[in-house]
Amino acid sequence: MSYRRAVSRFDRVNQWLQFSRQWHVIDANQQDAELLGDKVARYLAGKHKPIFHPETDCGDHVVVTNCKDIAMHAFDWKHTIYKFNMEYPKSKADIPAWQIHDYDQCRIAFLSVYRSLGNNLLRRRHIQRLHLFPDEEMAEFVRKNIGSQLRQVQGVVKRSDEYTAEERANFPRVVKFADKHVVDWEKSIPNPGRHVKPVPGQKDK
Amino acid sequence: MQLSKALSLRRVLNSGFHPFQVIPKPDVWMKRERLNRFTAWQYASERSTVKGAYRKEDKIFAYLNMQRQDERNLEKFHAEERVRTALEEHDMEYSKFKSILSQSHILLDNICLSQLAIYEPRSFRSLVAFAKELARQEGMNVIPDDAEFSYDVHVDNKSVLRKPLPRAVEYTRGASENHTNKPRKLREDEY
Repeated sequence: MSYRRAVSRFDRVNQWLQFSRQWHVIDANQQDAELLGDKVARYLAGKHKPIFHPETDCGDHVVVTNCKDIAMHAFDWKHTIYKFNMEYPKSKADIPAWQIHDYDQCRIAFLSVYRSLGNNLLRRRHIQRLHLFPDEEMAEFVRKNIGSQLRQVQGVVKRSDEYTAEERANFPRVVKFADKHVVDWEKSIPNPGRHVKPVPGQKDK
Repeated sequence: MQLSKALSLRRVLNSGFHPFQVIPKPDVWMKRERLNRFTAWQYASERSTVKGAYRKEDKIFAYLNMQRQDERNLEKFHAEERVRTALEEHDMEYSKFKSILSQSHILLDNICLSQLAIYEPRSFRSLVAFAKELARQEGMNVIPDDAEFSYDVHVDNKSVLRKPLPRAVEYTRGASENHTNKPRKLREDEY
């Protein structure tokens, strides 16, 4: 239960906005490439609007920032292979995702969105409304146009170097070391030998 | 040409045609015009030859038939998609929303709901708020609306929610004996 908000004229304008091209922004920092691609493709094609129909083009512009920090699951940077084949001799190239990301920081986001748009005649038109930026810098006209921010597809995790000294001290510890405890990495470990399963009834040595 | 019923003889005396020559056939122009209505914007032999054009016209009629049959199903499909996207705006799940509506005997189908979502977004939002409040009282997990924008809802699930009404029997339109999917037999209480 809550207070009844006064109906403003802005509510009506919210509905009109559906019929214009809106500009959305989404932060790709630590976002899974495929999930992000699905979400962005949905907005580019206009599938998030109740007025959507496949024969109309009611899609919006989407600005993706921080493409350099886009994420992939587990070893997918290595094992996701993007195939490029122009059907000419020697034109086939299978390039892993990390190499593409190394060459162009926005390309992985582009490829995942383009794949998620599906195979249809409108996707060339839709992909033109995608604006990718490797970091938060963008042209002034783009920044002016942005009207809404999309919810990210994943939670952003705090990096270990972003914790303050106080938070580190308060972090719950499993093991408490002595004050003078030094881990000697150089020290060689003696071979513990093969583990032998004790026979029931055998006495310990 | 006028033929007598009995002998299939044509009238020779006072006839409009010459008695002994072959009767000229009617002009094909009208037929070609009728054909070109559908095939004028096809390509190559499908518009430049008569045989190809007739073949294409047959196909076009088949495609039109397919589209007409799909239209009803597509309308339902699009309506459901629209309701789903509209519910997504308000953080509500489709299945929960529909179950609450059917349990509270609100007989709006997806087509009506999608039209509400498009043309009357505030009435649709009030429906969603109603369903959310009931779902919350039923113990379902729902994401509450933002406190600033939410509607006031005063309902009691015990007085509103009932057993959902039985679903209507659908008789498919078409031939009287549709062997692909027969309508189910009526129960005794439905007569």
